[in-house]
Amino acid sequence: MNPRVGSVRHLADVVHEHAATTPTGLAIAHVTDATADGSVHELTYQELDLAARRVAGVLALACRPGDRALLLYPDGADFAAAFLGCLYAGVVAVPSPLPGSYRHQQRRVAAIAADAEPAAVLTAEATRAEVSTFMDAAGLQQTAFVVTSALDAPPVDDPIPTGPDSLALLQYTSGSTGTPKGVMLTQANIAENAAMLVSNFRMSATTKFGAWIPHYHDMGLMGLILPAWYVGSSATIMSPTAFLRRPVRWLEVVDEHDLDWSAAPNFAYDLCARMVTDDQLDGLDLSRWRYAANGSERVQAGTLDAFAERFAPAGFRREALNPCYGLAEATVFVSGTGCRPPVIRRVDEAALGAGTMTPANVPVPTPATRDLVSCGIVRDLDALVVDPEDGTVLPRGRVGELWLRGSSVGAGYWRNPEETERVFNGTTADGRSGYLRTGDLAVIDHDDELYVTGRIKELIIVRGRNIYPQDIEHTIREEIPDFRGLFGAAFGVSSHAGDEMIAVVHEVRPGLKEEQLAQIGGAVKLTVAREIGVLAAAVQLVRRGSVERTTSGKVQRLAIRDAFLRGQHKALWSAVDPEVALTDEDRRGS
Amino acid sequence: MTSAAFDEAEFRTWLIDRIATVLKRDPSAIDADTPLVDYGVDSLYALAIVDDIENHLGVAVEATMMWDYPSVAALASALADQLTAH
Repeated sequence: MNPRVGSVRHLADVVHEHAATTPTGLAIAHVTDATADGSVHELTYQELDLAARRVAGVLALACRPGDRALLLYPDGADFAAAFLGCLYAGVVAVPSPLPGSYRHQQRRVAAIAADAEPAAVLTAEATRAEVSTFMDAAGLQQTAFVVTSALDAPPVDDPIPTGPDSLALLQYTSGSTGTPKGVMLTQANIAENAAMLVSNFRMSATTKFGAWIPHYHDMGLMGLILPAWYVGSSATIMSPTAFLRRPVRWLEVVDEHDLDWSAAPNFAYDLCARMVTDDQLDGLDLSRWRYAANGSERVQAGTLDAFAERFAPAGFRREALNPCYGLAEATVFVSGTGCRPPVIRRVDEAALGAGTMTPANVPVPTPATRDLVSCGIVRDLDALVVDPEDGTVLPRGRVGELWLRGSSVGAGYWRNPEETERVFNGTTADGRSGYLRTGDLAVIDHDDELYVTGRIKELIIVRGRNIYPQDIEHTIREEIPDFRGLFGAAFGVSSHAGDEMIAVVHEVRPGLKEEQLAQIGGAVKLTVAREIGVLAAAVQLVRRGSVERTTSGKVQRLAIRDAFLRGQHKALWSAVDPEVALTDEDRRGS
Repeated sequence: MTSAAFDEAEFRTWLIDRIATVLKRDPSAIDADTPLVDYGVDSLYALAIVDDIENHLGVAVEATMMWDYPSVAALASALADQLTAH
């Protein structure tokens, strides 16, 4: 058990105390216009604390401790103050993306609201109309609606006391249209995780945090804002859109704001290495960047190399590359390296598939090898690699499911006892229980380094975004009339470079002509792009009855994926991006 | 750059070079009439490429143009129409 349990103070108390001891210290900065220099909205700890106490004052009227508040905010300091206000009031914060203008976004927020049953919806002045319209459409007319920008309500004096096991927030990880899963995180979980992150990297009040990751993403809140507040430092946030439009802007913000810690999914590093021009590179100084954290999707050796090489002229140091592992079910941070060059091991792909990490002694990567990136050492949680079939704890060097136990592992899924039991109460064959089953396949080697090698859960992660296959399947069946009454499966596949991509296999009725099949296949790609916002790299249409299901009717996605990768499906129509890595190709290469 | 100075041929060459750099391909492998999505230019790259185009030409370009005119040739010709119409 973690020795710190019970000794870590609640974040509300920590921040409230910073307001007394370092009132003028910067707590949060929002780079409001990321294309123009110098336009920054800042809150000191004193200002943040007062804003949060005012929010807590309003919440005290509309909610009781333990009630949920849905936080629908644009990026900015208003979200940070509202979130802290929830902690001060003992109200469970439910961060969510804005409803936006796309149907899939609105459905997602409506599904979160239906599941969380908030007593209040909080937003900022800029999004008052958007959120108000959404509330009417989602049947939330009876829910309290609070615009927290420039609130002048009477503040509470102090955060209300809460127990370590009281809920602090629900972290929804999916864009679910069906059954959204909200991870229940307690006051102790979020404080412990912030403490773990900062102690792992020996951070202090002088460590400046900042990133463009959205605040409703676990890495944007628990991996950025909360650890900054925990040590009494500052978090600088910029808009995700500003980064996507102009990737170099992220690096400019790191430079201009002297950031020590900035985190992003792997794709962002890849995008910067590709997109930043020589002109943009000129004048950029990345020599002070100490932690370029890379997490929330598969970390790729090739991306680390490309980024380090591209930005070396700007002073970027390879030892700043900081591959991390984490997941929302364990708050966010589980492990990471730091202050050393990334550790990369070239291993034999076939041996890895058979369950062991075996070094491949070749100087360059081949199709028969894989370069595994270490995500560091799990220091503050009890980590086991377990045979997912029978619960046997596996020795070092063997591939199995990663199981975790400890103070930052969440309390389960909100109002979902069945999934909570399955995922949060893993029991080993030798009788140790209470483990979080991560669904990720991993190896821990003899140096305690953690390597994530694959996944046995059905979740698909594209560019750091969690996508549940059910959402894709549900959406295409709703939008494509030909699919009514038939079955299909969506699953994740890997590109040759190691990126995750989406594949869809769906049944069609008999007797369709080639052009009708092509039309349906095209509709799948278009629907997935428009409604889910990702590309379907592979679409196959198959005969009715050929999508495997269990006797209870559950679609066997992993078995279907396996058959797809081995080319065992007799597809009536098929469009597979050549980037998709198929199993037989790997065999040919080996 | 003023609109009168838009040079469609120069723009095509520049855009092909830019896309080739981003995709780590040889410029000769990028065909001006092939939809860019076939080379793997998805919404992530499209957004950033639009910004590059704006900076290169010094004019505002709607992000949707990448979808409405999905190849180098179509985009260059649409921009030529747009920039010489005023």
